[in-house]
Amino acid sequence: MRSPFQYFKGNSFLLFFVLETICLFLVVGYNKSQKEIFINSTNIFTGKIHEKTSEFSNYISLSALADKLSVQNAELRKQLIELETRMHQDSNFVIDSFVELDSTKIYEFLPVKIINNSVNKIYNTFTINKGKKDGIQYKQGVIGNNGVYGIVIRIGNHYSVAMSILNPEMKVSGMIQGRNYIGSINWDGDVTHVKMNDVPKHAIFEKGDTIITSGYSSIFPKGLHVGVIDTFWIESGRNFYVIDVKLGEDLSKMTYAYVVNHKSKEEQLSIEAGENE
Amino acid sequence: MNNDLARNIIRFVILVLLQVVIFMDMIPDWKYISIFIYPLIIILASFKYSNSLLLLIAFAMGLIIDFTDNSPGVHAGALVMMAFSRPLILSLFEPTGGYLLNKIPTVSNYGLVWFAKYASLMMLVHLLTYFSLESFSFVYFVTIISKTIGSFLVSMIFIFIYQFIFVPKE
Repeated sequence: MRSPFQYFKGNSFLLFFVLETICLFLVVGYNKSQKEIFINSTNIFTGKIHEKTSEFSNYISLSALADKLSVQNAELRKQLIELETRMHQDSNFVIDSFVELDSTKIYEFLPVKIINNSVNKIYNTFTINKGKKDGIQYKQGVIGNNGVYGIVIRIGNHYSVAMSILNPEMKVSGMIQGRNYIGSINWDGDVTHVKMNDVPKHAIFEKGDTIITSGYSSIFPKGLHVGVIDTFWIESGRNFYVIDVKLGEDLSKMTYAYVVNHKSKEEQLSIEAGENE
Repeated sequence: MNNDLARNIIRFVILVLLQVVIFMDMIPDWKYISIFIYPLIIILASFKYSNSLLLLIAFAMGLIIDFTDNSPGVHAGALVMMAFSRPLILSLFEPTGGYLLNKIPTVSNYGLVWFAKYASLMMLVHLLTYFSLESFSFVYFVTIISKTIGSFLVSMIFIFIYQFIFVPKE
């Protein structure tokens, strides 16, 4: 029968201080800088754990996933037929909807699986099952069927971590479809919504309008669906709208995604020429 | 002693797996509720351990959870804080006869009421530190408090359930 204070050693406070300082450095270093830090789930061991458990939960929701894929498949077939009909009817046909391809850029999409995902933190991230060995690069965009998911911020050999769109450090350039007003999209804590700023006071748009990516950065191609306008207002004394955008997808349920790899056309041509030699 | 060491290693592995596989990967994310089971490694630690050893165990456990959660330093910082506060919290609730060196702090050894008081305070220290470190700014004060309360209520349920399933000995 002894009090626990009898086991108190004078040096335990020093140890506490050292350990807590290390932790603080890790926290600050991770949030404020983008350099690679060893402690994240891109390492093989924890990546494997996440992969196995996500396989298991995907297995449980397999029929729901299959339904989702078949809906998406039907949608793509419809778009394909529409495009084919229009191409046959109109010889001067130009692609003007869906993904508006910039002629100087070529995009490639690498399918990935999301194996670990958070939506209830302040800085949300997710882990994907591809890494350096699969050609994933820093700052590549990650997109889903109906939304923008995030940007790759850390790369391991077999896994990578992306900053989710539900992260205050994430900035995406958006556009109101059909009206061509540009604004910057960021997140302020609501899991189903993002905010779009910088749309001027004189702009004309309405509730239900679609927000797409503007393609001003090379991270995301132009024309990807982000969400639809829910509400909007002008804060007193400001000259810009604040637009509340409902995301096109429930980000807590994302399972499959595509990593965007963009190459400039010249680069592509030179690679192809090199291969022919 | 070897028995004790083996038991603690097994508990460590069980808690890591429960936390990562069940409470992080399987359970969906709720806005104000996260379930924390791994702090039991410090809550249930033997009185035989020195404070320095407790701090090191907390740091190791915290870093492993950080590894899997993409949150370097957040879990570790909170658990080290909890381990550091343990002697103080134990002295607050010290029973009249004091603590028995070979009886670890559980419901069966010291009673339900005693354990509820002790584990609650330990968890509150952990969760407040955790959510403060996570946001790293007091702008999110309301969020920090709401998340602490939500996570506290649900985590405590699982902390009690754990003791009835695994029945920690000694």
